[in-house]
Amino acid sequence: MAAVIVIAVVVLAVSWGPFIWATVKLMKSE
Amino acid sequence: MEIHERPKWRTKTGFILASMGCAVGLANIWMFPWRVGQYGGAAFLIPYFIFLLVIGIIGITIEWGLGRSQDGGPQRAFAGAGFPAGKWWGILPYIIAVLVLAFYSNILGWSLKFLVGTITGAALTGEPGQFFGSVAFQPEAIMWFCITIVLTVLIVAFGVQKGIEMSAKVMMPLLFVLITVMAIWSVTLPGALEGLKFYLIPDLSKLTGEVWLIALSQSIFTLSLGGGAMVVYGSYMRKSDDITISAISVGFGNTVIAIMAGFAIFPAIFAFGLSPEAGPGLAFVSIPLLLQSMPGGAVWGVMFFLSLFFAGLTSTVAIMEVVTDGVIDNLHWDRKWAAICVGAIAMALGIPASINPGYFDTIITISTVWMLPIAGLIAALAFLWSYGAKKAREHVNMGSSITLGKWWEPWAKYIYPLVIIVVLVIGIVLGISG
Repeated sequence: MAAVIVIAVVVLAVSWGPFIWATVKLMKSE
Repeated sequence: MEIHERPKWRTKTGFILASMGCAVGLANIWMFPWRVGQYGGAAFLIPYFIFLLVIGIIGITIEWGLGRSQDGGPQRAFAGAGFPAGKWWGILPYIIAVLVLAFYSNILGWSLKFLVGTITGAALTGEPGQFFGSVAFQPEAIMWFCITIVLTVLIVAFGVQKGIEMSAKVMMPLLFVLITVMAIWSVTLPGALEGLKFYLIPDLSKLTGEVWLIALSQSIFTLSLGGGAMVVYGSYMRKSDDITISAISVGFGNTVIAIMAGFAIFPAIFAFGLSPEAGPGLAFVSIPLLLQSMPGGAVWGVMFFLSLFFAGLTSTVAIMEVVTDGVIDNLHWDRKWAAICVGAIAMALGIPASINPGYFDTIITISTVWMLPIAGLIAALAFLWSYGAKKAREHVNMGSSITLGKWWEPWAKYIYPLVIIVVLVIGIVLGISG
Protein backbone atom coordinates (compact mmCIF):
# COMPACT_ATOMS: atom_id res chain seq x y z
CA MET A 1 0.00 0.00 0.00
CA ALA A 2 2.78 2.39 0.96
CA ALA A 3 4.71 1.55 -2.18
CA VAL A 4 1.61 2.24 -4.28
CA ILE A 5 1.14 5.63 -2.67
CA VAL A 6 4.77 6.62 -3.03
CA ILE A 7 4.94 5.60 -6.67
CA ALA A 8 1.59 7.26 -7.40
CA VAL A 9 2.82 10.52 -5.91
CA VAL A 10 6.06 10.32 -7.90
CA VAL A 11 4.30 9.53 -11.17
CA LEU A 12 1.78 12.32 -10.68
CA ALA A 13 4.46 14.81 -9.67
CA VAL A 14 6.70 13.92 -12.61
CA SER A 15 3.87 14.35 -15.10
CA TRP A 16 1.92 17.24 -13.58
CA GLY A 17 4.91 19.25 -12.36
CA PRO A 18 6.59 20.12 -15.66
CA PHE A 19 3.17 20.49 -17.34
CA ILE A 20 1.97 23.11 -14.87
CA TRP A 21 5.34 24.88 -14.79
CA ALA A 22 5.62 25.12 -18.57
CA THR A 23 1.99 26.07 -19.15
CA VAL A 24 2.06 28.82 -16.51
CA LYS A 25 5.32 30.13 -17.98
CA LEU A 26 3.74 30.23 -21.44
CA MET A 27 0.61 31.99 -20.23
CA LYS A 28 2.65 34.58 -18.36
CA SER A 29 4.73 35.42 -21.39
CA GLU A 30 1.70 36.14 -23.58
CA MET B 1 5.76 25.06 -53.83
CA GLU B 2 3.06 26.06 -51.38
CA ILE B 3 0.16 27.53 -53.31
CA HIS B 4 -1.75 28.67 -50.29
CA GLU B 5 -0.76 30.96 -47.46
CA ARG B 6 0.32 29.47 -44.22
CA PRO B 7 -1.82 30.91 -41.46
CA LYS B 8 -0.02 31.61 -38.22
CA TRP B 9 -1.50 31.11 -34.76
CA ARG B 10 -2.94 34.38 -33.62
CA THR B 11 -2.48 33.91 -29.91
CA LYS B 12 -0.30 31.75 -27.73
CA THR B 13 -3.37 30.32 -26.01
CA GLY B 14 -4.82 29.41 -29.36
CA PHE B 15 -1.62 27.69 -30.32
CA ILE B 16 -1.29 25.80 -27.03
CA LEU B 17 -4.88 24.63 -27.16
CA ALA B 18 -4.52 23.60 -30.78
CA SER B 19 -1.35 21.61 -30.04
CA MET B 20 -2.93 19.97 -27.04
CA GLY B 21 -5.93 19.26 -29.21
CA CYS B 22 -3.72 17.59 -31.76
CA ALA B 23 -1.75 15.68 -29.18
CA VAL B 24 -4.67 14.73 -26.91
CA GLY B 25 -7.04 12.27 -28.33
CA LEU B 26 -7.87 8.63 -28.44
CA ALA B 27 -4.22 7.66 -28.06
CA ASN B 28 -4.31 8.84 -24.43
CA ILE B 29 -7.63 7.41 -23.35
CA TRP B 30 -8.01 4.37 -25.61
CA MET B 31 -4.56 3.27 -26.73
CA PHE B 32 -2.36 4.03 -23.71
CA PRO B 33 -4.37 1.87 -21.25
CA TRP B 34 -4.58 -0.92 -23.87
CA ARG B 35 -0.81 -0.91 -24.34
CA VAL B 36 -0.08 -0.70 -20.61
CA GLY B 37 -2.49 -3.54 -19.90
CA GLN B 38 -1.23 -5.82 -22.61
CA TYR B 39 2.47 -5.00 -22.49
CA GLY B 40 3.74 -5.34 -18.98
CA GLY B 41 1.56 -3.21 -16.73
CA ALA B 42 3.64 -0.87 -14.57
CA ALA B 43 6.79 -2.11 -16.29
CA PHE B 44 5.55 -0.35 -19.45
CA LEU B 45 5.71 3.00 -17.68
CA ILE B 46 9.49 2.76 -17.34
CA PRO B 47 10.35 2.90 -21.06
CA TYR B 48 7.33 5.15 -21.61
CA PHE B 49 8.68 7.89 -19.32
CA ILE B 50 12.22 7.39 -20.57
CA PHE B 51 11.03 7.83 -24.14
CA LEU B 52 8.91 10.85 -23.18
CA LEU B 53 12.08 12.66 -22.19
CA VAL B 54 14.62 11.18 -24.59
CA ILE B 55 12.38 11.02 -27.65
CA GLY B 56 9.06 12.77 -27.08
CA ILE B 57 9.89 16.27 -25.88
CA ILE B 58 13.06 16.40 -27.96
CA GLY B 59 11.08 15.14 -30.94
CA ILE B 60 8.56 17.94 -30.60
CA THR B 61 11.36 20.54 -30.61
CA ILE B 62 12.82 18.84 -33.69
CA GLU B 63 9.60 18.61 -35.68
CA TRP B 64 8.31 22.05 -34.77
CA GLY B 65 11.76 23.49 -35.48
CA LEU B 66 11.89 21.72 -38.83
CA GLY B 67 8.41 22.89 -39.81
CA ARG B 68 8.97 26.46 -38.71
CA SER B 69 12.41 26.82 -40.27
CA GLN B 70 11.27 25.37 -43.60
CA ASP B 71 7.82 26.94 -43.46
CA GLY B 72 6.07 23.87 -44.74
CA GLY B 73 4.80 20.35 -44.30
CA PRO B 74 6.88 17.18 -44.65
CA GLN B 75 7.77 17.34 -48.33
CA ARG B 76 8.75 21.00 -48.33
CA ALA B 77 10.48 20.59 -44.96
CA PHE B 78 12.53 17.51 -45.85
CA ALA B 79 13.49 18.91 -49.25
CA GLY B 80 14.09 22.43 -47.94
CA ALA B 81 16.38 21.12 -45.22
CA GLY B 82 18.41 19.41 -47.92
CA PHE B 83 17.51 15.81 -47.19
CA PRO B 84 18.29 13.65 -50.25
CA ALA B 85 15.12 12.93 -52.23
CA GLY B 86 13.32 14.87 -49.50
CA LYS B 87 10.32 15.51 -51.69
CA TRP B 88 9.82 11.74 -51.99
CA TRP B 89 10.57 10.81 -48.39
CA GLY B 90 8.11 13.52 -47.43
CA ILE B 91 5.35 11.37 -48.86
CA LEU B 92 5.89 8.77 -46.13
CA PRO B 93 4.15 10.82 -43.40
CA TYR B 94 1.15 11.20 -45.71
CA ILE B 95 0.92 7.45 -46.24
CA ILE B 96 1.17 6.88 -42.49
CA ALA B 97 -1.50 9.53 -41.90
CA VAL B 98 -3.97 7.81 -44.21
CA LEU B 99 -3.35 4.45 -42.51
CA VAL B 100 -3.80 6.09 -39.13
CA LEU B 101 -7.02 7.71 -40.29
CA ALA B 102 -8.24 4.29 -41.37
CA PHE B 103 -7.98 2.71 -37.91
CA TYR B 104 -8.38 5.80 -35.76
CA SER B 105 -11.71 6.67 -37.35
CA ASN B 106 -12.92 3.21 -36.44
CA ILE B 107 -12.26 3.93 -32.78
CA LEU B 108 -13.93 7.28 -33.24
CA GLY B 109 -16.88 5.40 -34.69
CA TRP B 110 -17.03 3.29 -31.51
CA SER B 111 -16.95 6.51 -29.47
CA LEU B 112 -19.85 7.89 -31.46
CA LYS B 113 -21.90 4.75 -30.92
CA PHE B 114 -21.09 4.98 -27.21
CA LEU B 115 -22.11 8.63 -27.16
CA VAL B 116 -25.49 7.68 -28.59
CA GLY B 117 -25.56 4.76 -26.16
CA THR B 118 -25.02 6.98 -23.14
CA ILE B 119 -27.78 9.29 -24.28
CA THR B 120 -30.19 6.39 -24.68
CA GLY B 121 -28.76 4.61 -21.63
CA ALA B 122 -28.05 1.44 -23.58
CA ALA B 123 -24.28 1.75 -23.09
CA LEU B 124 -24.59 1.76 -19.34
CA THR B 125 -26.66 -1.38 -18.90
CA GLY B 126 -26.17 -5.02 -19.63
CA GLU B 127 -23.25 -7.35 -19.08
CA PRO B 128 -19.70 -6.00 -19.08
CA GLY B 129 -18.52 -5.65 -22.64
CA GLN B 130 -21.93 -6.38 -24.08
CA PHE B 131 -22.45 -2.96 -25.59
CA PHE B 132 -18.87 -2.89 -26.86
CA GLY B 133 -19.35 -6.30 -28.40
CA SER B 134 -22.47 -5.06 -30.15
CA VAL B 135 -20.44 -2.64 -32.25
CA ALA B 136 -16.76 -3.64 -32.36
CA PHE B 137 -16.01 -5.72 -35.44
CA GLN B 138 -19.71 -6.06 -36.16
CA PRO B 139 -21.20 -4.99 -39.50
CA GLU B 140 -22.74 -1.86 -37.97
CA ALA B 141 -19.22 -0.64 -37.13
CA ILE B 142 -18.84 0.13 -40.83
CA MET B 143 -21.67 2.62 -40.58
CA TRP B 144 -20.22 4.41 -37.54
CA PHE B 145 -16.79 4.45 -39.18
CA CYS B 146 -18.16 5.95 -42.40
CA ILE B 147 -20.05 8.61 -40.46
CA THR B 148 -16.84 9.78 -38.78
CA ILE B 149 -14.92 9.83 -42.06
CA VAL B 150 -17.68 11.80 -43.79
CA LEU B 151 -17.86 14.22 -40.87
CA THR B 152 -14.10 14.72 -40.97
CA VAL B 153 -14.15 15.25 -44.73
CA LEU B 154 -16.93 17.83 -44.44
CA ILE B 155 -15.04 19.77 -41.79
CA VAL B 156 -11.78 19.75 -43.76
CA ALA B 157 -13.44 20.31 -47.16
CA PHE B 158 -15.39 23.31 -46.01
CA GLY B 159 -12.56 24.67 -43.88
CA VAL B 160 -14.60 24.89 -40.71
CA GLN B 161 -11.74 23.94 -38.45
CA LYS B 162 -12.27 27.19 -36.60
CA GLY B 163 -15.58 25.94 -35.29
CA ILE B 164 -14.01 22.68 -34.22
CA GLU B 165 -11.14 24.46 -32.52
CA MET B 166 -13.55 26.66 -30.64
CA SER B 167 -15.47 23.67 -29.36
CA ALA B 168 -12.17 21.99 -28.53
CA LYS B 169 -11.48 24.87 -26.15
CA VAL B 170 -14.43 23.62 -24.11
CA MET B 171 -14.19 19.91 -24.79
CA MET B 172 -10.51 19.38 -23.99
CA PRO B 173 -10.65 20.88 -20.51
CA LEU B 174 -13.97 19.07 -19.96
CA LEU B 175 -12.42 15.73 -20.92
CA PHE B 176 -9.54 16.46 -18.65
CA VAL B 177 -11.79 17.30 -15.69
CA LEU B 178 -13.92 14.21 -16.31
CA ILE B 179 -10.95 11.85 -16.46
CA THR B 180 -9.71 13.32 -13.19
CA VAL B 181 -13.11 12.87 -11.52
CA MET B 182 -13.32 9.32 -12.83
CA ALA B 183 -9.81 8.58 -11.61
CA ILE B 184 -10.61 9.81 -8.12
CA TRP B 185 -13.79 7.71 -8.07
CA SER B 186 -12.05 4.66 -9.49
CA VAL B 187 -9.31 4.50 -6.87
CA THR B 188 -11.94 4.42 -4.13
CA LEU B 189 -13.70 1.35 -5.52
CA PRO B 190 -13.45 -1.91 -3.55
CA GLY B 191 -10.69 -3.92 -5.17
CA ALA B 192 -9.03 -0.87 -6.65
CA LEU B 193 -5.76 -1.53 -4.85
CA GLU B 194 -4.97 -4.52 -7.05
CA GLY B 195 -5.42 -2.32 -10.07
CA LEU B 196 -3.13 0.34 -8.65
CA LYS B 197 -0.49 -2.28 -7.94
CA PHE B 198 -0.75 -3.57 -11.49
CA TYR B 199 -0.47 -0.03 -12.85
CA LEU B 200 2.29 1.29 -10.59
CA ILE B 201 4.44 -1.49 -9.16
CA PRO B 202 6.65 -2.79 -11.94
CA ASP B 203 7.36 -6.46 -12.45
CA LEU B 204 10.68 -6.11 -14.23
CA SER B 205 10.48 -9.62 -15.64
CA LYS B 206 7.76 -8.28 -17.92
CA LEU B 207 10.06 -5.65 -19.41
CA THR B 208 10.83 -7.40 -22.70
CA GLY B 209 12.18 -6.03 -25.98
CA GLU B 210 8.65 -6.02 -27.29
CA VAL B 211 7.55 -3.74 -24.44
CA TRP B 212 10.32 -1.27 -25.32
CA LEU B 213 9.21 -1.30 -28.98
CA ILE B 214 5.54 -0.75 -28.16
CA ALA B 215 6.41 1.97 -25.62
CA LEU B 216 8.49 3.77 -28.26
CA SER B 217 5.69 3.62 -30.81
CA GLN B 218 3.16 4.78 -28.20
CA SER B 219 5.22 7.78 -27.16
CA ILE B 220 5.73 8.83 -30.78
CA PHE B 221 2.14 8.24 -31.80
CA THR B 222 0.54 9.92 -28.81
CA LEU B 223 2.52 13.12 -29.43
CA SER B 224 1.61 13.19 -33.13
CA LEU B 225 5.30 12.89 -34.04
CA GLY B 226 6.49 11.15 -37.18
CA GLY B 227 7.30 13.93 -39.59
CA GLY B 228 3.69 14.84 -40.34
CA ALA B 229 1.26 16.72 -38.13
CA MET B 230 3.83 18.29 -35.81
CA VAL B 231 5.97 19.47 -38.74
CA VAL B 232 2.86 21.10 -40.21
CA TYR B 233 2.04 22.60 -36.81
CA GLY B 234 5.54 23.97 -36.62
CA SER B 235 5.08 25.65 -39.98
CA TYR B 236 2.21 27.63 -38.47
CA MET B 237 4.45 28.94 -35.68
CA ARG B 238 5.93 32.40 -35.61
CA LYS B 239 9.61 33.00 -34.88
CA SER B 240 8.48 34.66 -31.66
CA ASP B 241 6.76 31.49 -30.44
CA ASP B 242 8.49 29.59 -27.67
CA ILE B 243 9.15 26.10 -29.01
CA THR B 244 10.94 24.69 -25.97
CA ILE B 245 8.49 25.67 -23.26
CA SER B 246 5.54 24.79 -25.51
CA ALA B 247 7.08 21.38 -26.17
CA ILE B 248 7.33 20.74 -22.44
CA SER B 249 3.75 21.90 -21.91
CA VAL B 250 2.33 19.76 -24.71
CA GLY B 251 4.51 16.72 -24.02
CA PHE B 252 3.79 16.58 -20.30
CA GLY B 253 0.18 17.66 -20.74
CA ASN B 254 -0.33 14.74 -23.06
CA THR B 255 1.27 12.46 -20.49
CA VAL B 256 -0.94 13.83 -17.71
CA ILE B 257 -4.08 12.83 -19.58
CA ALA B 258 -2.75 9.36 -20.36
CA ILE B 259 -1.62 8.78 -16.76
CA MET B 260 -4.97 9.97 -15.40
CA ALA B 261 -6.76 7.68 -17.85
CA GLY B 262 -4.72 4.83 -16.38
CA PHE B 263 -5.77 5.83 -12.87
CA ALA B 264 -9.39 5.83 -14.01
CA ILE B 265 -9.24 2.51 -15.83
CA PHE B 266 -6.95 0.08 -14.00
CA PRO B 267 -8.48 0.26 -10.54
CA ALA B 268 -11.88 -0.19 -12.21
CA ILE B 269 -10.63 -3.17 -14.26
CA PHE B 270 -9.63 -5.02 -11.12
CA ALA B 271 -12.60 -3.83 -9.09
CA PHE B 272 -14.91 -5.32 -11.72
CA GLY B 273 -12.91 -8.49 -12.22
CA LEU B 274 -11.89 -7.81 -15.83
CA SER B 275 -8.58 -8.67 -17.44
CA PRO B 276 -6.12 -5.84 -18.05
CA GLU B 277 -4.91 -7.70 -21.14
CA ALA B 278 -8.28 -7.34 -22.85
CA GLY B 279 -6.70 -5.50 -25.75
CA PRO B 280 -8.14 -2.62 -27.79
CA GLY B 281 -11.52 -2.87 -26.11
CA LEU B 282 -10.16 -2.21 -22.62
CA ALA B 283 -11.28 1.40 -22.22
CA PHE B 284 -14.66 0.77 -23.86
CA VAL B 285 -15.44 -2.13 -21.56
CA SER B 286 -14.17 -0.67 -18.29
CA ILE B 287 -15.29 2.95 -18.56
CA PRO B 288 -19.02 2.18 -18.90
CA LEU B 289 -18.79 -0.04 -15.81
CA LEU B 290 -17.02 2.74 -13.96
CA LEU B 291 -19.63 5.27 -15.03
CA GLN B 292 -22.45 2.92 -13.99
CA SER B 293 -20.99 2.77 -10.51
CA MET B 294 -20.90 6.56 -10.17
CA PRO B 295 -23.82 8.60 -8.85
CA GLY B 296 -25.17 10.53 -11.83
CA GLY B 297 -23.28 8.13 -14.06
CA ALA B 298 -25.63 8.68 -16.96
CA VAL B 299 -24.80 12.37 -17.07
CA TRP B 300 -21.06 11.81 -16.59
CA GLY B 301 -21.30 9.24 -19.36
CA VAL B 302 -22.79 11.60 -21.91
CA MET B 303 -20.27 14.31 -21.05
CA PHE B 304 -17.39 11.84 -21.19
CA PHE B 305 -18.20 10.32 -24.57
CA LEU B 306 -19.10 13.70 -25.99
CA SER B 307 -15.74 15.18 -25.03
CA LEU B 308 -13.94 12.00 -26.09
CA PHE B 309 -15.64 12.18 -29.46
CA PHE B 310 -14.54 15.79 -29.89
CA ALA B 311 -11.01 14.95 -28.80
CA GLY B 312 -10.90 12.25 -31.44
CA LEU B 313 -12.55 14.42 -34.06
CA THR B 314 -10.03 17.24 -33.64
CA SER B 315 -7.33 14.65 -34.22
CA THR B 316 -8.90 13.14 -37.35
CA VAL B 317 -9.43 16.64 -38.71
CA ALA B 318 -5.78 17.52 -38.02
CA ILE B 319 -4.56 14.32 -39.67
CA MET B 320 -6.79 14.69 -42.70
CA GLU B 321 -5.80 18.36 -42.99
CA VAL B 322 -2.14 17.33 -43.26
CA VAL B 323 -2.79 14.87 -46.08
CA THR B 324 -5.23 17.19 -47.87
CA ASP B 325 -2.59 19.92 -47.85
CA GLY B 326 -0.19 17.43 -49.39
CA VAL B 327 -2.64 16.53 -52.15
CA ILE B 328 -3.28 20.21 -52.88
CA ASP B 329 0.44 21.01 -52.95
CA ASN B 330 1.32 18.13 -55.24
CA LEU B 331 -1.69 17.76 -57.49
CA HIS B 332 -3.12 21.29 -57.22
CA TRP B 333 -6.62 19.97 -56.70
CA ASP B 334 -9.45 21.97 -55.23
CA ARG B 335 -9.67 21.57 -51.41
CA LYS B 336 -13.06 19.85 -51.55
CA TRP B 337 -11.94 17.20 -54.00
CA ALA B 338 -8.64 16.69 -52.21
CA ALA B 339 -10.44 16.06 -48.93
CA ILE B 340 -13.00 13.77 -50.55
CA CYS B 341 -10.20 11.80 -52.23
CA VAL B 342 -8.31 11.39 -48.95
CA GLY B 343 -11.51 10.39 -47.17
CA ALA B 344 -12.31 7.85 -49.85
CA ILE B 345 -8.90 6.21 -49.57
CA ALA B 346 -9.12 6.15 -45.77
CA MET B 347 -12.59 4.64 -46.07
CA ALA B 348 -11.41 1.92 -48.44
CA LEU B 349 -8.50 1.06 -46.14
CA GLY B 350 -10.56 1.28 -42.99
CA ILE B 351 -13.72 -0.66 -43.77
CA PRO B 352 -11.98 -4.05 -43.50
CA ALA B 353 -10.63 -2.87 -40.13
CA SER B 354 -14.21 -2.21 -39.01
CA ILE B 355 -15.04 -5.90 -39.14
CA ASN B 356 -11.77 -7.83 -39.07
CA PRO B 357 -9.76 -7.69 -35.83
CA GLY B 358 -6.66 -9.21 -37.44
CA TYR B 359 -6.56 -6.62 -40.21
CA PHE B 360 -7.31 -3.89 -37.65
CA ASP B 361 -4.32 -5.00 -35.59
CA THR B 362 -2.07 -5.22 -38.64
CA ILE B 363 -2.85 -1.72 -39.83
CA ILE B 364 -2.12 -0.33 -36.37
CA THR B 365 1.16 -2.22 -36.17
CA ILE B 366 2.37 -1.28 -39.64
CA SER B 367 1.57 2.40 -39.25
CA THR B 368 2.37 3.15 -35.60
CA VAL B 369 4.95 0.53 -34.62
CA TRP B 370 7.03 0.42 -37.77
CA MET B 371 6.44 3.32 -40.15
CA LEU B 372 5.97 6.11 -37.64
CA PRO B 373 9.33 5.81 -35.86
CA ILE B 374 11.04 5.63 -39.27
CA ALA B 375 9.35 8.83 -40.39
CA GLY B 376 10.33 10.50 -37.12
CA LEU B 377 13.88 9.35 -37.69
CA ILE B 378 13.93 10.92 -41.16
CA ALA B 379 12.57 14.21 -39.84
CA ALA B 380 15.38 14.29 -37.29
CA LEU B 381 18.03 13.41 -39.87
CA ALA B 382 16.69 16.12 -42.17
CA PHE B 383 16.78 18.79 -39.47
CA LEU B 384 19.95 17.84 -37.62
CA TRP B 385 22.10 16.37 -40.38
CA SER B 386 20.92 17.96 -43.63
CA TYR B 387 19.99 21.37 -42.30
CA GLY B 388 22.69 21.29 -39.64
CA ALA B 389 22.70 20.79 -35.89
CA LYS B 390 24.03 24.24 -34.99
CA LYS B 391 21.57 26.04 -37.28
CA ALA B 392 18.80 23.80 -36.00
CA ARG B 393 19.47 24.64 -32.38
CA GLU B 394 19.74 28.34 -33.15
CA HIS B 395 16.42 28.18 -34.90
CA VAL B 396 14.66 26.29 -32.12
CA ASN B 397 15.98 28.82 -29.60
CA MET B 398 14.37 31.69 -31.50
CA GLY B 399 11.53 33.04 -29.42
CA SER B 400 12.34 30.77 -26.52
CA SER B 401 12.61 31.96 -22.94
CA ILE B 402 14.85 28.98 -22.22
CA THR B 403 17.97 28.58 -24.30
CA LEU B 404 18.65 24.99 -25.23
CA GLY B 405 22.33 24.39 -24.55
CA LYS B 406 24.81 22.76 -26.88
CA TRP B 407 23.81 19.37 -25.40
CA TRP B 408 20.71 19.46 -27.58
CA GLU B 409 22.79 19.11 -30.74
CA PRO B 410 24.43 15.72 -30.06
CA TRP B 411 21.25 14.53 -28.40
CA ALA B 412 18.98 15.34 -31.33
CA LYS B 413 21.60 14.40 -33.91
CA TYR B 414 22.95 11.14 -32.47
CA ILE B 415 21.04 9.85 -29.45
CA TYR B 416 17.54 10.44 -30.82
CA PRO B 417 18.12 8.60 -34.13
CA LEU B 418 20.19 5.91 -32.42
CA VAL B 419 17.49 5.10 -29.87
CA ILE B 420 14.89 4.78 -32.60
CA ILE B 421 17.16 2.58 -34.73
CA VAL B 422 18.18 0.35 -31.82
CA VAL B 423 14.61 -0.22 -30.68
CA LEU B 424 13.42 -0.95 -34.23
CA VAL B 425 16.30 -3.39 -34.79
CA ILE B 426 15.49 -5.16 -31.52
CA GLY B 427 11.93 -5.42 -32.76
CA ILE B 428 13.04 -6.91 -36.08
CA VAL B 429 15.48 -9.33 -34.44
CA LEU B 430 12.83 -10.51 -32.00
CA GLY B 431 10.49 -10.98 -34.93
CA ILE B 432 7.83 -8.87 -33.35
CA SER B 433 4.61 -8.52 -35.24
CA GLY B 434 2.95 -6.34 -32.61
